[in-house]
Amino acid sequence: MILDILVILAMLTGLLFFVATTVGIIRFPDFYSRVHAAGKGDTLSTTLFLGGAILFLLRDFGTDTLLTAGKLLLIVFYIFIASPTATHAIIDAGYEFRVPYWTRSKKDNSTKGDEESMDNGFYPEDLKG
Amino acid sequence: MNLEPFFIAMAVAILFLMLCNLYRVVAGPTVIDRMLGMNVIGTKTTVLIVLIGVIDGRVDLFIDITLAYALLNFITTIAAARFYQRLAQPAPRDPRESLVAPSAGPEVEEVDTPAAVADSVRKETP
Amino acid sequence: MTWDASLLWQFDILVLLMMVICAVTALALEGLLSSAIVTGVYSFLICLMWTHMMAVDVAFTEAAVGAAISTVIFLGTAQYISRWIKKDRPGEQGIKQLTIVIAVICAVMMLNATRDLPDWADPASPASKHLSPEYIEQAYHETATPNVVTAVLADYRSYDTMFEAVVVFAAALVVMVLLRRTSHKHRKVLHLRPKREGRDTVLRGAAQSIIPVMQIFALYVLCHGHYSPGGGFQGGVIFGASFILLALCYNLKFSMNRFREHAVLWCCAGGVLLYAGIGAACLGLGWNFLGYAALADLLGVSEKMARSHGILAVEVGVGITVMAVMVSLYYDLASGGDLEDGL
Repeated sequence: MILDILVILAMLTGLLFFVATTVGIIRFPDFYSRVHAAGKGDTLSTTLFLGGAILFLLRDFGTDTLLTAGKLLLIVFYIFIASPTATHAIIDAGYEFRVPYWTRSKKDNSTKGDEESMDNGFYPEDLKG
Repeated sequence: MNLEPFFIAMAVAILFLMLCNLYRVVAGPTVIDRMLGMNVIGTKTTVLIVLIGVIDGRVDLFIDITLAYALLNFITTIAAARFYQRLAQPAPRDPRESLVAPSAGPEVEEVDTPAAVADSVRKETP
Repeated sequence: MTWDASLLWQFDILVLLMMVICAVTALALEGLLSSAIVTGVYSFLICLMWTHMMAVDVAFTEAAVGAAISTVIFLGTAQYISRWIKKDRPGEQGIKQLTIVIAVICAVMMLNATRDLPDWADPASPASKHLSPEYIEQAYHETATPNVVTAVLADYRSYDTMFEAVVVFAAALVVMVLLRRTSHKHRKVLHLRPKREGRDTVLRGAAQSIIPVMQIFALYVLCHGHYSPGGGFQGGVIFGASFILLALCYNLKFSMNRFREHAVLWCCAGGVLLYAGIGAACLGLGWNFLGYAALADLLGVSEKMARSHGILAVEVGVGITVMAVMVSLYYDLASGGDLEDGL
């Protein structure tokens, strides 16, 4: 019973972090801030979801469920290492390519969408491909 | 306690949020925003595969494919970022001082033109 | 458990909607790099769809080949092409319209032909009445392999798998013929490469911890294909992808020092030779080509176990070939053929 409560709690927290990630990816004005939202929130929400799945597997305690739970723990550990590394690679590529920073100036703080600001000269030509 | 409707609701919720992330893949103003969206979609798909296994009660069938998927998602993201760095190098950039990120300094790799090689030689000699 | 409720309609609708959006976007985007990335997202989503339909081996192969290797190959090819789709030159508009007309005619003909196919999941179709029940009932008794997909792929339909391995081998050869050039030529295909001495500490650390585990996992997938979804092809792709990851996180030279080009080519050919060699050995011992029961006297086991061992041996052959082909394709595409400098 208490294991069920823990599973529900873990998955709901994971979902909450994933909602935060999605809102961040859609709404943040700049590439660099979106990478922050995606890298951190994504990893944590995946860890919580898979942790909930591990707890759910441990309800019926047997040797094969223990083996499967062990493999899931390996996956959690792997995602904990690999997902921030991928985020680092993305932001390294963006930094070396000199993706422009968002500044709170009159030119950028308009209510237009991304496409219009793309043609305003905010992004250099070769970034858009 | 039957947790199956809960897991189904979770899976549908994650899918709906993945649809919202797809907006960033479709409408990302730069290529690298699309790579970011691809990474998030890939990571969430591994969670969805485990959830499908949990709903059907056969997680041991799906566990190998979950690990393989996570590995390949990682490789795809790193390959895309590295290829993008390669493609970025020879393109001349438009100097807009207030908007362009500051130059990375002397740690950025020099392009292998004769002028750049001569420059680096000149910099090294005291 | 509830096998009837395994196809959730909400799941299907959302995934299909995302796939349609991805497909339309990949066509509508202007840059080649963006289209390649959106195609990668499409591959991820269709892998999810197949997992939902319980076709786990197919999903495994799609994840391995479509999502990772195809995207890397598209990106590697995009460096040779101008990144923008140019505006139409005069005279091209007519060719485009002719192409669209031909494509529409072919699509109409094929849609007309689908009227003769049996209904979806019809239990009275020829495949469901004669072939599938026989495989499902007889596979374990005849080949001692619990995974029916591996038994069908490597025993009942082993000719197809052998020619798959040959086709993959031919692809590596063709890419080599097209791209490979020695360093004596002055004209390089790719100019202005960045110097990469593998300076990135984070990527190096991650590669050091992940790559050995990945290779052991690849061998596990290969050998465990008898009992769980997997097999030779998927294991080989993951093994090859580990070398690609090594080349990405360090240097191409670093990876090439560990898996040289001539070793790659030996492995490419050696896997196909192993597969065809087993078939020829069975032929030589008096049975059919690739009839593994011929190896029963050679190995000293029963016919069932001989078939199981034969399946394992050909899976190893396919795995070796696929691994070497992925590595060879990456070497040729990432460096523009001269294998000197790369990503």
